[in-house]
Amino acid sequence: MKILNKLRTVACLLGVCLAFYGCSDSLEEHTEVTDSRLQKSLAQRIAEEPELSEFNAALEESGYNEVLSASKSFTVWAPDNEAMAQVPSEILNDSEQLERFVANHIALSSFSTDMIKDTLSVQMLTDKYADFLPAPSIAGVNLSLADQFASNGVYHIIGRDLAPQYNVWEYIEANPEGYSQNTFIASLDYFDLFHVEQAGEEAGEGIDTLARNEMLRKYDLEDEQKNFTYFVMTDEGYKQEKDKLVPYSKRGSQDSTQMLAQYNVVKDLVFKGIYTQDNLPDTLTSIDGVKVPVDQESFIGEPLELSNGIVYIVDRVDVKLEDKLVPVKIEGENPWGFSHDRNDNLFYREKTDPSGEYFEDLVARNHGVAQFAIHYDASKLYSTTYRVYWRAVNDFEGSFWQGLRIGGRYEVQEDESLELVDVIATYPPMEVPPNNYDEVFVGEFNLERAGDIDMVSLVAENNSSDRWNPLSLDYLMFVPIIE
Amino acid sequence: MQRITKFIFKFSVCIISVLSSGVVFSQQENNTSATDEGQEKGVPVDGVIRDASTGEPLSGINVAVPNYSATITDDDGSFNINVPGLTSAILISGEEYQTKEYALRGESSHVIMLYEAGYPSFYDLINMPTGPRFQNKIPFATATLKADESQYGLSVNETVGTFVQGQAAGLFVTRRSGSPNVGADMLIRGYNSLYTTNQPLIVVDGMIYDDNDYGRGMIENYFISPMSNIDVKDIEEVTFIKDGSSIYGTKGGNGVMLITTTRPEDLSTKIDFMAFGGFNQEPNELPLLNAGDYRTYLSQLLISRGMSQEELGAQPFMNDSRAFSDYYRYHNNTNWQDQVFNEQSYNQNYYLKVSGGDNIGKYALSIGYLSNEGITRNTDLERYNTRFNADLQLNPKLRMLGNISFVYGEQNLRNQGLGSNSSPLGLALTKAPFLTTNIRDANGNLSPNLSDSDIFGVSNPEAIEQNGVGVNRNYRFFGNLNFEYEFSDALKLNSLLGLNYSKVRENFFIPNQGVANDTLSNGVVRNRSGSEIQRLFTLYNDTYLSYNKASRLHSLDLRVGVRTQSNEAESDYGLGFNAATDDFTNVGAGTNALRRVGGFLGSWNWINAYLGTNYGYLNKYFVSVNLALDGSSRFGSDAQDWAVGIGDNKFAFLPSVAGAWLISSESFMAESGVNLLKLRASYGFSGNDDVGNYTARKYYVSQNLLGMQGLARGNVGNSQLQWEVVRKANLGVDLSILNERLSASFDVYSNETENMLIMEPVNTSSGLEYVWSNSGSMKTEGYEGSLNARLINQELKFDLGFNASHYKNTVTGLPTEEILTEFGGATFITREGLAPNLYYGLHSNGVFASAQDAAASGLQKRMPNGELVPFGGGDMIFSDINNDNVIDDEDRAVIGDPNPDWVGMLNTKISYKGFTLDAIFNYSYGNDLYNGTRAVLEGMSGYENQSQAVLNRWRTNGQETSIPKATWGDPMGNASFSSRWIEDGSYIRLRTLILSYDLPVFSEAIRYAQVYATGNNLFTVSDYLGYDPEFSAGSSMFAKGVDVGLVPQYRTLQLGFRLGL
Repeated sequence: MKILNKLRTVACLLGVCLAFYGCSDSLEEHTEVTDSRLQKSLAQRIAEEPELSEFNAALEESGYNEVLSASKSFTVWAPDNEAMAQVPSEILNDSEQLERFVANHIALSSFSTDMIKDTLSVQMLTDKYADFLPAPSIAGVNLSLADQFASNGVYHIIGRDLAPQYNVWEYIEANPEGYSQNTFIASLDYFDLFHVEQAGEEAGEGIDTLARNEMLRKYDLEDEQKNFTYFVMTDEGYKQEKDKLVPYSKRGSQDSTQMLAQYNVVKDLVFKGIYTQDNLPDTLTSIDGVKVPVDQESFIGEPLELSNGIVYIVDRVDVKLEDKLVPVKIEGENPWGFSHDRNDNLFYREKTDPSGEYFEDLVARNHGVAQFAIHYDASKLYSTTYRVYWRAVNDFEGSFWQGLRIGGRYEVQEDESLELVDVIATYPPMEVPPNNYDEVFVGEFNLERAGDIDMVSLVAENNSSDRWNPLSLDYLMFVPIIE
Repeated sequence: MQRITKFIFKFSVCIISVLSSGVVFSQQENNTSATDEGQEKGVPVDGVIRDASTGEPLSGINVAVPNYSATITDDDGSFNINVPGLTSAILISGEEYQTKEYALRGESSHVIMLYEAGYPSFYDLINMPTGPRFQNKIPFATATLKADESQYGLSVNETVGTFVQGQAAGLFVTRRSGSPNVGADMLIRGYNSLYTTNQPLIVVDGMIYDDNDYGRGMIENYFISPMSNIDVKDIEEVTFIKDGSSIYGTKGGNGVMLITTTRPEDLSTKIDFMAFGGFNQEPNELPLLNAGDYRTYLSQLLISRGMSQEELGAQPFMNDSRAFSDYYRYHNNTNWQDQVFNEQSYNQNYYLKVSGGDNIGKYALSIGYLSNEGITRNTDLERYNTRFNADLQLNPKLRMLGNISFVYGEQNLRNQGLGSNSSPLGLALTKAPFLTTNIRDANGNLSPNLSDSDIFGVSNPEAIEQNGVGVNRNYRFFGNLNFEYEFSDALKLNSLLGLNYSKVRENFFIPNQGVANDTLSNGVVRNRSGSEIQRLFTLYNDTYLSYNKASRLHSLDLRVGVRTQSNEAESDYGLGFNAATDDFTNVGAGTNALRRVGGFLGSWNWINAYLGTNYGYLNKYFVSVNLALDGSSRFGSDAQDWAVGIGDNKFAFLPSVAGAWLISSESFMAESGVNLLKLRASYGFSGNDDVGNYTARKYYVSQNLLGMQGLARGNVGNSQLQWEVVRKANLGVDLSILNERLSASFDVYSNETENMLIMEPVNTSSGLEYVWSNSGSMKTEGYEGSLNARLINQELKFDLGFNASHYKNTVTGLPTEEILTEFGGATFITREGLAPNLYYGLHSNGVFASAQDAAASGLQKRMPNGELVPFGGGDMIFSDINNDNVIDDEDRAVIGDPNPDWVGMLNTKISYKGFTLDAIFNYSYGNDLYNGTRAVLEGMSGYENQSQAVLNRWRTNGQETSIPKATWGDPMGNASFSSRWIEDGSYIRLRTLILSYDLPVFSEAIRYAQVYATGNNLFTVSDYLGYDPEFSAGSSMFAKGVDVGLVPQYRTLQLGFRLGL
């Protein structure tokens, strides 16, 4: 019967002044924030909590108190004064470290304990993740006081700090033990190992050095959302592994040969996912398909648990050369170019062979061009001898002949004609008999310098008759020979 | 039933013959009495007539016994007159004074006090369906509103519907919204029907006025109310007939509102000119979250949607770096309500009336112009109206009365309502405040171009305001000629021929730029247009023979006649989509494949033979009998109840009888000091023919199946379909004491509806959902009272008026157990034994403070996939009515009643010298409202901006609050229809305050000069948590009390002057 009371008020005040100002006090009453805790921001609430005075000092020092006054919503796991006393002073005294330290206690959006069903993986402002468990605990630290709310979020009090851990990349860069393997990986920032910039892939400021780092191109070691297992060899073992690969990593200079050999060692030492010591298999396979033996005997000390992975320090990871040098397969249906524009005469086929195996290949027919060529490339080859095989399926014609050329590039002559130079190997046309689904040995070539072959060309007969000049390729296989 | 019908029919035929023989008899008696008694005979009576305020004797006042004797008072106010007997009454009238019938009550010497003209009195001559009568002789429950000086000072926002609000006891008026000219829902004594109209019959100058909207409506939540186009200043009298309206047959079931427009009074030429100007004030805005609080809310809500923190952080509105190219786009603090409301909008109104004539012809011509800007931007109303009323004596026997009016109105409107992506106000309430109206570039510069719809898919209200189109143009010709042939003083034949032609053209355009895309079943809609034309053509005739005769003992009025009405209504609309650019705003510019056309055709006829008789004996005992025999093209050929078959057609027979005893005219009351005491009783039947033009027949509708056009059965024809019958009983008493300084009326009534139309669900195998049948019944009981008092009666006059009305509806019969209806998010239940349309939902009891509390309650909710999910901390606590620990539809209960316990009005009038202050307060008490606006603004389930109330939302375990937690999509139904949104809709409002001053006039040429200051809706006291507690989203009872977010009513202040020449 609020209205009756109000009527009484109105009866008293019934005058012009009231007449011109409508009363909407019910609405004001309804929308008023009554809980004093909700009238204050997280920054204010934390500042008022005596138990959190030290953390509040850190917030103010790092400027994060302003963040916590902002209009987003946040969750703070605030270490109490006791916990703050345990924090090393170098963190607290270094502004950069302090900022990271504080940021690792704050998460965007508000998380209260009632939201945890099983495990809530919470991303802190450092981008690092922590598990919020129903215990309730955060990253293994129990909450001593949970669910304190403010206008823009929630804070919980914890009895131990949540200092940020390195991620794998940060670990490599920091390289606390000074291993040359880590030094090498970090140095790739400043060394364009495979000339990606020349290839025109890179542009823009700020991102070039990291993007140039071949290891990071291969693995997002700095991605907090992913998990990695990383092996670091002691300098001795690392050197042995590198030396083993030097003959196969020959480049123009000694330096670049050494670099490439090192890269060829480290590229197979990172694995996706976390393999803890309990579930570590005796062989791991890298993303390049290299089998890497795991010898627990050679482990040095306890593995390091990082924010996005685990690091094992080992004497040596002895990868067999035959496992390391994996054959290179070039798919026929993935050419990068043609000698002539004959798109109408290309057939990208999806078929099954007589044994029921599915395959895709490329056939060129009725193009009417003598010596029509399809161009492929092969990348990151070792400096060694390769045996070349192909699988060319002819299920449409009597026997025809096709040739293969490895390497070469066109050079513009003075008379403006093009001439093919630097050919590594040329194989004369070989018969492609009907209905042969087997891999056929084509020949061998020796690669002096490790690296890419930009042009591998499948060449038709020098005959413009459609009967004689088809081309067919399922794949080419370059199998390295270990000397 | 049929037998009873026949019996009553026969009985009434007898009555008619008896009455008609009575006519002959009384004629004879009159003849004899006139010769017997003569002028000189009779009883002499003397007296003095004085002014009731000053006590001064009044000279020049007419004193008469009609058809018998007459005199004029002398300078000292005294008179002598011969009367037929001391049981008679004398009629006293004088210019600028009230007309009064004064009962002699056996005394021969009298002092009679007269009040100024316009003083509310029981002696007023008021227009009834059977002609003008003195109110003290009417046995029916009526209420009359007379033209009054204050009428000229009314705010330009007042329409007929809003103007009468509260002015009569038993009248329940709900003003619909703050859109100009949208009018009001009107009920006389509550509801009589579920599915047919509950609005009273409107009769303007003797002809039925159709106030229906025959369109589909191009503009969302806007109603066309033709009656709003009648200029209130043209109205001379409004009479409400609350019972015994059976003379209007099957159209009178909801009571009758008789409007009489201004007529020439005397022969001198008079010119009245008025000019007003004023402004409308923006309503108090709803307190919404600012950009910061909204972002806090959103950053919490989106996580509950399953968004990761990283995705949340990547939202453009979360990026606080000024270097970010969209920084300025998402870092504003826009008060969208400010963008939609005009802080002030202006109105003006001019009115000119010329009246005069000679003894052959009298005329009154009025013309008016009104312009009123709406309270929301780019909405307005412009209206031109003209009315010509004439009274021509064509020859000594033949007279012609003409009433002709023409109105043209043009309105700019925009869609209204929440949830629509094209309603500026709805968008203003829910659009993210960190966005802004115009595009801002990376440096924060504001472009003149409007922002497009935002990342949340919400339109820019500014784009609809500026580049949208919403126009309503309408005109109505409404006129009639009434020929009257006088056979003798007593016997007259009238024939009224009337014509109504009206057209409404509405079109709209919603642009692409700035507005979110819509989808049709066959396409994505970028821009939209629509156009509709409504047409109504009515021919009306009322031909009647009337007989009026009074003698010393008897008086008799009798009117017998036939009314016919033939109507044709048509509406055609087209909807266009995806015009090439926003510059092509008409339907034809849309894509051919998406265009839609449709319409409606209606044709119906009505014939009504009626008899109205009023018999009085000794000026103390009055009996009225009204009968009607009604035929309509709408009725089924096999109608049974109360049906009379004539040929193949069924006619409704509806009689009523009423009696009154004027106790105060009895001799024994002479010393009582009671000026008037009258008892009234009436009982009768009325009907409601709003059963649909073709519902009784079988019809086919066109249907499209996979691109093939065909016809399909549209209904189950019900040949027994008939009118609803309302059985009305009324008991009333009128009292006036202390020399008429205090007068009061009290009525108690019961309306019982039988044969109430119901949409009866049918077996789905029929292919149809329901069939219309007359299978329900309902009862409305209530009482109402009014009181008028002159508290100070000197040079300073202080009048106080008060009325209060109450009704209680009860559904007494339904063919199904219950009817559940949905409107605007609210669910209503209609069940036997209860009032119809009660709010039906969950009962909420606050919020679980913690997960432990929730777990302890054991309550669960069934998800759409059948899984049972327990309630958690921060969820609403709903009552588990059926104790199965699962909160679902089975736990719904009646949670409120949209019907008010009391409505009424309190008015005061204070006049001193030239100053007059009128104040009208109206109130509603005890009605519940569903605050659908709040349900959106506190629902906390999506991107909609929220009310500041959600700052109190539940955040963590242990927090005691009444606002639940924010969760995307509201899976636990915290915002579902429940008592949480039901609010007390009681209010009292100072609706009108008019201060006027009569300027001293020094010239003979000027009759008067007045200045006015008017305030409308000056304040409203209410606990309602919305803009305004009074609104109506639809005239159906199933829409009552649902706040769908219409433009609210607002305050208007205006100044004006009035000049009489």
